[in-house]
Amino acid sequence: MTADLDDIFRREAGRLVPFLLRRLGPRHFDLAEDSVQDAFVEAIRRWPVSGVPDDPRAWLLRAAHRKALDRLKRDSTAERKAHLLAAEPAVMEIEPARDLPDEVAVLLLACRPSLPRESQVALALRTLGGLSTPEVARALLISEAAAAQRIVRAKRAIEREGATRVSDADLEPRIDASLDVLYLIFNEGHHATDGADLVRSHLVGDAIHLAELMASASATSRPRVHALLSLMHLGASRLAARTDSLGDLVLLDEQDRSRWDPAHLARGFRHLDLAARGPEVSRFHLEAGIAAIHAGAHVEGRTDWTRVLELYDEIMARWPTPVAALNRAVAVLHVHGAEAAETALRPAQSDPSLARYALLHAVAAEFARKRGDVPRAEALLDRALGCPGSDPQRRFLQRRRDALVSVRITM
Amino acid sequence: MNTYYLILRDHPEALASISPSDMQAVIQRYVKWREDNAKHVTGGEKLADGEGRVLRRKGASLDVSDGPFVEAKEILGGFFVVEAESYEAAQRIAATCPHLEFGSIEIRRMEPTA
Repeated sequence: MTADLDDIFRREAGRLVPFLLRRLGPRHFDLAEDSVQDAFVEAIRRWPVSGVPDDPRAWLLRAAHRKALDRLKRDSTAERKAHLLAAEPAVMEIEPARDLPDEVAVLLLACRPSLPRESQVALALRTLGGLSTPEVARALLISEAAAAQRIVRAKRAIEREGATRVSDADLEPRIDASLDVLYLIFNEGHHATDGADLVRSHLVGDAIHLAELMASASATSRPRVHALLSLMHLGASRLAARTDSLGDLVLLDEQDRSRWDPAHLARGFRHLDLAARGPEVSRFHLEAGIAAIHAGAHVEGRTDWTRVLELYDEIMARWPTPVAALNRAVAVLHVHGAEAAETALRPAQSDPSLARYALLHAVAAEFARKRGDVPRAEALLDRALGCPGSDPQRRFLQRRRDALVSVRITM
Repeated sequence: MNTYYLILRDHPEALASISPSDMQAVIQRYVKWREDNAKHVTGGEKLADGEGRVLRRKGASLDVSDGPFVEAKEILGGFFVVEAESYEAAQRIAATCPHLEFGSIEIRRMEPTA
């Protein structure tokens, strides 16, 4: 019984709000949320005393549905609204999309092109991740006021838009936005593996779950959805083996690859196969390809860095970002050596958006160390230590710096 | 062995504002309390919130009022049934009940019919 309850309210919030929203229509965002909250309050008042029902999920669904009807009836203008709690989902009519899960419909709704990405992410976490506003703030490492503002802005925009019929032309950009949102959520969780915050550690599983739903629905199944799933599963396979997010990139070679999760690895490779069916090549295809090479090295015992570098070259040609340049520089190190890697890293180092990014300076320090320039490596690690970061990250950096000092003494 | 009723009073609004993840934790503490005391706690019932009628005979007429409402300070929300040797034993069980964080518990012994 206790196992069935595992995380049930958060999970069910992410299912029930989309369920109601889709039947009430997007103008009734608050009504859907309040009705689910009513059902939860009834559960938390009843279950402790009269016992947990045999099927808690079904109980909550019935209760939320009934609470929504109650609220509609109490509302003075309810009569004309009551029909809105329809048996058939009616919000996002994407033909031929009868199998579109409620969560995917609401994700597409949240990913309306005019909304800033940060609002799309905040609303997805709140509505599909079942997080309270303070939890959204913690998940995104922003203030509660900022989280509340992003969520409200997104809700109001969707309410203004009203019931939407998404045309085919509108669907593709919304799928792209959805994938970006899910990848951002995944990365927030991926950076939080020190276990300090449970809210953040759920994000990896939530992002994978929502992407699986997109892949399972014919209206939203695309090769690039499978590519993102491959990338996320391959990334998730390494979670247990990682020391922390900063050690990841620098120490990939030193990881105990026998600790990589075989179930995630298998799914990662399966989705990579599915992603290859069709001419489409997205950024996620290239990143999944790189992740697959690292995962494959687990079997082969060596990493094909030349192929990794080729893939990063393609990413930089089509979707250049400072972080991609940083990752590419690590591949350059393995193929062409430390001096070439330092040259490759320079554009990322001069980018102001990465000035406070500890990983950038740690990687630069590693390049300097490989060249034998210990004082420069020390200075760069000091810069990395001056950047914001988690405690395990700081301990990792401090160990690297201590190791440098001992190198210096023995020289 | 005697039968005791643990009469639970609380404020329904007190639980309304907690987050879904925290609700999970609250329910699990009650479930664990029931499991830990499975030999003694033999039942429990919840009374519906926000409805109810109070009847009073006033001379020839019957006075019927709605209530108690959730706005009331503390309302009777439900009860557990506990089998125990004595008030002291029943009190030891009640004292560990998570309900005390949300309201009060009144312990009453049921008078045997015989």
